[in-house]
Amino acid sequence: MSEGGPAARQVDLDASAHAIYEHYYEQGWTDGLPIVPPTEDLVDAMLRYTDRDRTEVVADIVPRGGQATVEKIAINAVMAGCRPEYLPVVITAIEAMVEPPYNLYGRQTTTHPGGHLLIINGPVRHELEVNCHQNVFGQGWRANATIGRAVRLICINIGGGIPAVTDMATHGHPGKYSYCIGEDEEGSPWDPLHVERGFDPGASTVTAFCAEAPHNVNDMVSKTPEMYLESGASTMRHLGANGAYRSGIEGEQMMVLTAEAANWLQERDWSKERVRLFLFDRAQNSVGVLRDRGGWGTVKQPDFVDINDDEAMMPIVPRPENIMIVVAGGFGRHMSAVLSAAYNVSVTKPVTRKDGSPIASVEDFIR
Amino acid sequence: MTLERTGIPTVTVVTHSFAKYGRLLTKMQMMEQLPMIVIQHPIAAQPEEAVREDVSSHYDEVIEALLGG
Repeated sequence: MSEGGPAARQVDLDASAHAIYEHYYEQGWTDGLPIVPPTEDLVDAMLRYTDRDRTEVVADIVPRGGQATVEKIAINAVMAGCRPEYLPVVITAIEAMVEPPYNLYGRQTTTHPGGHLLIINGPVRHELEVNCHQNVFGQGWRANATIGRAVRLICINIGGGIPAVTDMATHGHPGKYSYCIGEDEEGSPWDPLHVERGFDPGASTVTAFCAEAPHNVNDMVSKTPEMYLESGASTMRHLGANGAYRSGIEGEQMMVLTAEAANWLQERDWSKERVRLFLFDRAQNSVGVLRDRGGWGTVKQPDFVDINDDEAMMPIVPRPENIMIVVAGGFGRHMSAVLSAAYNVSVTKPVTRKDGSPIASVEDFIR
Repeated sequence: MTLERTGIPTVTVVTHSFAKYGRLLTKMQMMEQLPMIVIQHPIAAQPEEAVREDVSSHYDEVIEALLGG
């Protein structure tokens, strides 16, 4: 973005981990969990994994408009527990989140429960051991846990996203601590998300998508793709979903399928595109059902739906391509509907050097 | 705030539960002078007449804010 942001302030503290945590918590510098003290040596070690100057401003983070310098991003990444080599992914995530279509200002301050879901694609998943499989949204993998957490800490400490002060989420959700997955590209029969979006399969990318908690769809029984995907569509179109009322504006919704389910579908000649079209066609409600409830009438109505006709069907997104399909998770045919506020779309950015050239490996930075 | 920055006079209406938050956001954006009208909370699912009555009572404030520069 620009050169020369302010240097981070140094503090001298009692050396005990507990005292440091207490101080950070009292200052409002944490998400409530203990942090790794961002000592100078740890921050310097992390800064080895970038070719940018430590004072370079990557972005201004709203609502405070704080300057996210490379150094301050690294400090928050250390606090979150990131390994040094995670830094390029954290920087890329921030670059994605500040793109206007992401609507970070709205996402940081809304009553809606939106967490910054990061979807990692490409070889960096393997290098950083990003979980793409069993318990993909859950605990147990350092990369998933700490990369997502670093982004949250940056939103708090640089962006000023303070719960109940500027972050007005009515309920929030647990993914606001950390929300990061990898796509199971090797298990999927389909092009992964980043390839769909025009990136080389060998590129590493981060897609940021501000979303609600994943809503599980359990369908182990359906014998046809139509029945199976109808279970998913019914979850995506529920009457409390923002998208049900907001196909008149630009928004996206997402379905996460396991490799097992994706291959089962592909074996029955269901391409990703066919799945997407089916979900678009079935994740719809009639105007008569939607009228005067939920989010009815709070935003521009879709031009392509006659809202005076109770039988007219309203989709959850303006067009099929606004339904994202990602393959991730473990064994079984559970699906996860990951719904958004529908005021925002996802943004995908490649992990690159400062000059914009893609990296083959995060180790490129220290060679 | 975006509209105001482009030169379009605005008045921001918030309910009292969001007033402190609204003021803080304007401060963060260095727009503390942004006109803001505070109405009662809640408004969701309240009788329309009651909401109209409360909002209408602020009509003069809205006009004053818009004309006040």
